[in-house]
Amino acid sequence: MRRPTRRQRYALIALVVAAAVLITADYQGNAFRGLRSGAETVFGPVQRGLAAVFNPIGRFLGGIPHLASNRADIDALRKENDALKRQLAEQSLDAARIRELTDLKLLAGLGGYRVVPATVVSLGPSLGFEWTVTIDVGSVDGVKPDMTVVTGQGLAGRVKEVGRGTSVVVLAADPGSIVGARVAGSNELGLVTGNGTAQMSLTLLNPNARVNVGDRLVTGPYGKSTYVAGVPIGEITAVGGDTGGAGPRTATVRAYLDPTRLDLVGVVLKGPRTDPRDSVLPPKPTPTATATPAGATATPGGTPTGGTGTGGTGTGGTGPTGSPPASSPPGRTAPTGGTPTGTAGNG
Amino acid sequence: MTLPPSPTRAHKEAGTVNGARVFLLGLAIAAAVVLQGVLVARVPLPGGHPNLAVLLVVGVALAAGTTAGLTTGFVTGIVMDLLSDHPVGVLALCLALVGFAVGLLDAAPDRSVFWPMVVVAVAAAGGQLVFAAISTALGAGGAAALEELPAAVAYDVLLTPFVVPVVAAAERKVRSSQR
Repeated sequence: MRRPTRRQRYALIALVVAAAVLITADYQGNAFRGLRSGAETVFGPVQRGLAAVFNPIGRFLGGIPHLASNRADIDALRKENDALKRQLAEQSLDAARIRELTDLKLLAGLGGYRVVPATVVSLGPSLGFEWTVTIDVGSVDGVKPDMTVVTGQGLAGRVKEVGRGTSVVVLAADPGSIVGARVAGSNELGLVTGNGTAQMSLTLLNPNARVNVGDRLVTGPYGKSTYVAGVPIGEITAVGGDTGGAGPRTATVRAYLDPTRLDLVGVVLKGPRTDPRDSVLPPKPTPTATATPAGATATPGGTPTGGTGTGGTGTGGTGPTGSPPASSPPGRTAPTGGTPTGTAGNG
Repeated sequence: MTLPPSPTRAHKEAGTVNGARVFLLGLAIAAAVVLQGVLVARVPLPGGHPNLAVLLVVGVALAAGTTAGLTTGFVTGIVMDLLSDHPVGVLALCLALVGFAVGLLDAAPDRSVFWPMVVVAVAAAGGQLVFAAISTALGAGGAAALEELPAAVAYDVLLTPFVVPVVAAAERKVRSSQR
């Protein structure tokens, strides 16, 4: 340790005093704004330039202590991402479900059917030869053999066997399935036969009947038909040649519903008191006479009040599009539970 | 601010003011200030950050003596003050005191790096304490400066072998080129 010279001592005192003056001046009145911005001007560009070089290095160095936790973070984020993606997919599934249920209720309401909603739980053992599906409602839900099964789009099939909690449904697309049909508007009667994934065929009872491409079919009161009346089946896409009365007149029919894409269906527990005629049909794209609301009588007097008949009940004259459901659609548990919450009864 | 060399300290205070020396010193100060802000302060170290300015001032003071230490400390402090938020003069005062005190020591940095490390530890802690004291007196809160003190001192000591000998070597080179 050396003793400072007098000169050094003076220098120290001078600088300490200078510093004290500077501190006081700056503390009281921000006296060095100009100098500060000057220093900023000089050093700023250098700092920016060097920062571009050093920042990645700094980030890298700073990341080293967190390598393990970073990996954990990445894993956690990845998991979260997957979960969110799954949620999103489920949500769109739910939305589709809600739409189907809404359609189903609408149809039930328009036709005056009492419907128990059900979910397809398995496809038939020999899909392709025999078109059957298993649904998750059974005798405890009031399902009995030969009941009509519908979706929001139209006819699905009929119940073949009933278990306690499940039932087997023969689809209308089954080659052995024959459905009594009525041409909307002209009221010509015929039989619709399933063809698997191919289009169904219609055999008209009256060989001289006139049908046109685009005519629409509903289940009709033919013979001892097990199907409830008025359920939409499909549209005629082609008409067979005129046999001159010698043989039956045929046509091909495109079904309203795709038999390979069934999810939510409804079993019609009780048909309408009177034939809903054409009121359940979806509105025809081209305006024809068949769109007239013959179903003004479809929901006679007894506007379906049972259950939660919100699906446009009692609005047979307005058509399906005119009456969205008044209440919010039920949650995802409603259709799978097999409980008759979706009934829109008129009894 | 630089004073003429004291005749009795000729071996230490040799050739005080000349162009090369001022230029090199200015460069070193600028480098310390910029690197401190751009690199050192940005590396997320646990506890605190080393202070390049303290290392530079200690190195200069050990190699070139009291006057050089005092001047370097004051100038470095002023520049850092101008680039920061606290009142101008606070760091200048701290670093000038550090440079002055260290310059009085006889620990030559050429021989061993041990004594410079001890000096850096004491100087860094002392400088930080003075800074905290002034900040508190100004009502700016010196608690943060004290919280980082142990870690900052430790980092300064760790960096000493890389900074102080370099400064000493540069000083030696400037001095020998003058003869």
